[in-house]
Amino acid sequence: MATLPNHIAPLLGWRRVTHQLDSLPTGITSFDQILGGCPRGRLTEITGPASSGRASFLHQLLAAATRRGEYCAVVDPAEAFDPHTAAQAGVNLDALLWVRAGQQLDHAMRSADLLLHAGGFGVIALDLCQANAEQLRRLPASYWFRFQRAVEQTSTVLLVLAQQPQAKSTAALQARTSRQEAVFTGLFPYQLLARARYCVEPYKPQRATAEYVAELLEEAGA
Amino acid sequence: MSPSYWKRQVHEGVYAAIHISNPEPAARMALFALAQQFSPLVEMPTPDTALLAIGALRRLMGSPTQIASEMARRAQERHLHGSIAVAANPDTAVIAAQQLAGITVIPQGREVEKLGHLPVSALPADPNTLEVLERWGVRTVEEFCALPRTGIAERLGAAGLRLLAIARGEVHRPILPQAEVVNYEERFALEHPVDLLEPLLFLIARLLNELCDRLRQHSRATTELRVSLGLVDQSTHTRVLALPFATHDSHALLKLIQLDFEAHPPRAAIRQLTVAVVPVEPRVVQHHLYTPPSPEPERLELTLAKIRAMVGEEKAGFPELVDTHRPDTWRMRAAAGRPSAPLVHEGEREFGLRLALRYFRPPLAARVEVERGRPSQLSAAGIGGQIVQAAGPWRASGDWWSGAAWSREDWDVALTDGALYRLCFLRREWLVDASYD
Repeated sequence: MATLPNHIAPLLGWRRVTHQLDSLPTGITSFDQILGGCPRGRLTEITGPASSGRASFLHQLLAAATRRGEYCAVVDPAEAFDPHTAAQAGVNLDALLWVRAGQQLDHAMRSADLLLHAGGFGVIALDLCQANAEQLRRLPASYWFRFQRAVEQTSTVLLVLAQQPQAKSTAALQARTSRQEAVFTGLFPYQLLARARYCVEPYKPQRATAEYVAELLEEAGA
Repeated sequence: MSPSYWKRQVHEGVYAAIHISNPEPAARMALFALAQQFSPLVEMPTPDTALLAIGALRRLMGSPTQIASEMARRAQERHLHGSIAVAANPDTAVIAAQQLAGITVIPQGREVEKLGHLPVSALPADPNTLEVLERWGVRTVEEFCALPRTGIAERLGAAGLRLLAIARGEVHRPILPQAEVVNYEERFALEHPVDLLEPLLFLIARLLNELCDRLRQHSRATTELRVSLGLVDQSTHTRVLALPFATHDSHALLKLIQLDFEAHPPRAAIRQLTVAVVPVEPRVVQHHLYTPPSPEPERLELTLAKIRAMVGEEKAGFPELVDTHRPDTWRMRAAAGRPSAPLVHEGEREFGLRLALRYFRPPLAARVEVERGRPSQLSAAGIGGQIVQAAGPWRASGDWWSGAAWSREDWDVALTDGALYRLCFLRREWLVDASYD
């Protein structure tokens, strides 16, 4: 593309991205040290199996953004988001829009599209982790290109969480998460779930490995 | 007003009166608003006539004729039909506006010449005086003005002398400004019932534009829009839009009410329409230099309305925690709170990573085998395996003082593949409530 004359590339449907936006630090030190955070104006995709730290990653990112005074949105077709643990992670719920799409994937995609076009959000997260696999297969790929176009002129981080990669080439950052270890303290019947160790491995734009430990915070008196 | 103001006003001595032929309440409001575009002090001698001093406008707008032409142009924009008169004293201007069509400019000293042909009933006289004048055979203003002052004083007294001074254009008085009562409600009665949304929105747009103009004119905005539809079945369909921000953007309000009517259509055709807004202080926002961008309130509300129309009214909003120990309890607020300014600088304070829960709503029914008082095997839709670690039971109960008592037993379990789940034992049934993710 670099060798093509400037007027040829648009005719081929190619777009040259000339501006470089900054990144939003996630608050996960090991991840931020490698990549600087999630790129603004780009699509970031985090995939992984159940219980692999995707939600903890999301909460950290939302907490980091809302702490900076930014509005965030979570589009959640499975209605799985937990405001309680999000608040424990430091998310300012006053600045968090939560869209529960009632298992309707199409509604979720259209909601995300509307939010992207509304503008002004620091993070828009589309959580497809518990979406029906058959529905995901039927999802038109054009959505991802539309999202890529819509987000690239903004300073929004568009985060997609899923079990398997969905956004493919439209994602600027792709990483997969995996569970490493769950730590229980004490002996039965006085055991406590204390923390879980997760690993996030970016594979686009570069390969790396970052580990993080998420702790369970139990409320006093709960 | 200071005495010097009145002195200057009388000295400058150019008054304009605007008279409208259609004295409906909405037209009267529009007339008052029109007059206020030229002077902050407006007298309404009759409901269909506005009187104002325009002497100070000479430098801005030119001669009295030019001012009157500008008034006529702006009246046309507001769909007001009537007449305009400019004179050296207020009462002459009012009489001329009420009696003469089009634009009339009466120079000082030529009042009798211009108004002389009018019937004497055009003067602001009481019926008894008019009857006396009729008995005398006085038909026109000119004939009345020709009567000797002494004779009128003897027969009609002070009231007669004042009437003569008005007729001759000799009364110089300051105008008496009207205390403004602004009505933020518009009604529209339809000749034929409307049963389609598009023509209804066309009418609502017209009324909303009028109301928003009025809000802007009085430096107000609104946080509540109320649209009431009188239906052909004699019932009323009322929708109230409560906005989390103050606005006078008629386009945004129209779009919001359109989305609302699409979600909540009236059950019969419409024969009457009332649109009202609640005036409030406008929004004043002083952005911090380093405040991060946030969605524009109008745009966010429109986006939310579109999303709610799609996913449901209660499904999109801002979550709020409820003061209870009951797990998975929260409520949704329709509007965003005020996100705090970035108080914590990067690296200033370390926030620990917290384990997040991902709920199954509704919870998954599970089959759990229990050995020596602890779960050992889990089987549910898409989830299954041997439980290698379990922490619990965490018993909780509450609301026993009310009718909504609850009690549950939770377990945190780890399966052989490392997945972590929160199980719930509720009413003798095992449920997979959430996963730690």
